[in-house]
Amino acid sequence: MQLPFLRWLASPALLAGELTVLAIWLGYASLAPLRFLSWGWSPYLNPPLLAIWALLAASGLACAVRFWRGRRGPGVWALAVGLACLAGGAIAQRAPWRHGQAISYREYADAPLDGQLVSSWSALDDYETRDGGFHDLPFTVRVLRTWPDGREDAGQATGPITRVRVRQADGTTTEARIAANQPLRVGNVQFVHDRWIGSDGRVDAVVLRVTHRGAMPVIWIGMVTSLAGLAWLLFVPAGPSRREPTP
Amino acid sequence: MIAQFASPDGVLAGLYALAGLAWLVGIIDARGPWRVLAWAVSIGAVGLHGAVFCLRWLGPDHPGGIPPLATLRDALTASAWLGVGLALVAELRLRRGWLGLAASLWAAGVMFASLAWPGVLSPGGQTPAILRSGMLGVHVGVIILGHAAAAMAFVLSSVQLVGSAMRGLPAQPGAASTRHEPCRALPLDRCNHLAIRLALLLIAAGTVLGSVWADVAWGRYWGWDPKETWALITIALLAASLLARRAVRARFKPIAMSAFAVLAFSAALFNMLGVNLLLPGLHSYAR
Repeated sequence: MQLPFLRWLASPALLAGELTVLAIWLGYASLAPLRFLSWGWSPYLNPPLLAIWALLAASGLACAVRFWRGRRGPGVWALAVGLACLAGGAIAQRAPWRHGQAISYREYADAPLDGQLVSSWSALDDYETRDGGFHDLPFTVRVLRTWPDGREDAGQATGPITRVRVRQADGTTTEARIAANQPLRVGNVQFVHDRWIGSDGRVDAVVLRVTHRGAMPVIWIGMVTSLAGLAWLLFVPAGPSRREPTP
Repeated sequence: MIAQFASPDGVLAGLYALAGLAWLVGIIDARGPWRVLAWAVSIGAVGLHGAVFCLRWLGPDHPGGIPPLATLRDALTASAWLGVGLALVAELRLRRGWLGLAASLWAAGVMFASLAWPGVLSPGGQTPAILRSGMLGVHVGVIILGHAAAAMAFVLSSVQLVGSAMRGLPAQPGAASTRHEPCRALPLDRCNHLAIRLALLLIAAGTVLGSVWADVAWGRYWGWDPKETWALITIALLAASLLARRAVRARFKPIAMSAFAVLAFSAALFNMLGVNLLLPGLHSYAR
């Protein structure tokens, strides 16, 4: 544990420098994307930023190793367990194999949706934008979930759209996200609904995504545990090492 | 304009300013009755602000039990209230008056700003559907409490930096100081350190809560929305301020920490005002 490289990685000066570079880069990217340094990647996820993130992760790990030996050990453990729960819960909830497939508006009838059936669907085809806003566009979708034993749960979801893609006359598309209504649930299935609208104001396509909520308790436990660990690291003073007592 | 100052917000602005003055005189003259006055005025202001907040919450403008935190003006005035409350709790332990002074100055500034520019900070219109959620009070409440702590750190850091510029760095006995020496437990430095740690913890907690809400409402935890990005920048700079304190020799610790804390609050302020008013994004409704 006395490796010079580990001490260098865990040094506060290096960590402070990494965080400052990250903050400057992200701030500039949010105001004026650094296209010439992004090589076509997202302004927030590109090779230089990934390198900074990797260095930060290595430094954080080295800090954890050093803190683990002192009075901040419980904080490190809580933070590690909490972050693992957060990551595990988030991945379990957002895993691609648990998502419903996108269904086209014109293929709505009885389209299979990750074990569920969308049985009927009504939308306002001839909707026209008013004042450029889409906020209160109503739509209704009936969702039917069939269980292996033949049982059926039916639910109706109603709410405004969340995303609009407008196809311009020249073929280009612009996209805008709009605040969603409350999530729509059938059992433990949540529908986050998007609607795509053409430049003529007619509904082009509808996207339904299914998110299972089963991992939420894990996420909440992870959140509480990781924040408790962070609080420990911030407020419990660093003490002498348990293994190498100072003279 | 005069009528606005006769409103509850105007009375609160005056009370917070008076409390700030009393805290300041109490720091200069620790033996006088000023600290008792500062405590009394601060507690009275927090109590009155709490009553005003509850009346607004129960009023016809906020149907469905949604707390009045949806607009920028609501969030800023609530940060004044929660910030002074948080400072009073911290003062129970520290008893130096610095946190009370910083929180009162922030609260007075925010309340005067909300009186001066009500139209900019609180445009009319219905509460968007996305904000009709129980998560509004939790996520926004924790975040604005963190911003209030960051504001306290900004005030104390500014005092620290200006004081250092005027008086020079504290003299160090001998030239053998190392980065491992314990920092001199100056009252101002201790209070500033506490405010920064509170800000980091609260803003991190609020951001995580927000990402859980974002998954429920928007179908993803993180989307590099400007509000999210600038929250991350604020967290990074607050963490950097605590690390900078550990990275330098003892006599430079308060200066290094304060410089980063000023940057961190600048990022938080841009997140509160600049992102809402200038940049398009999912959080634009928060205006």
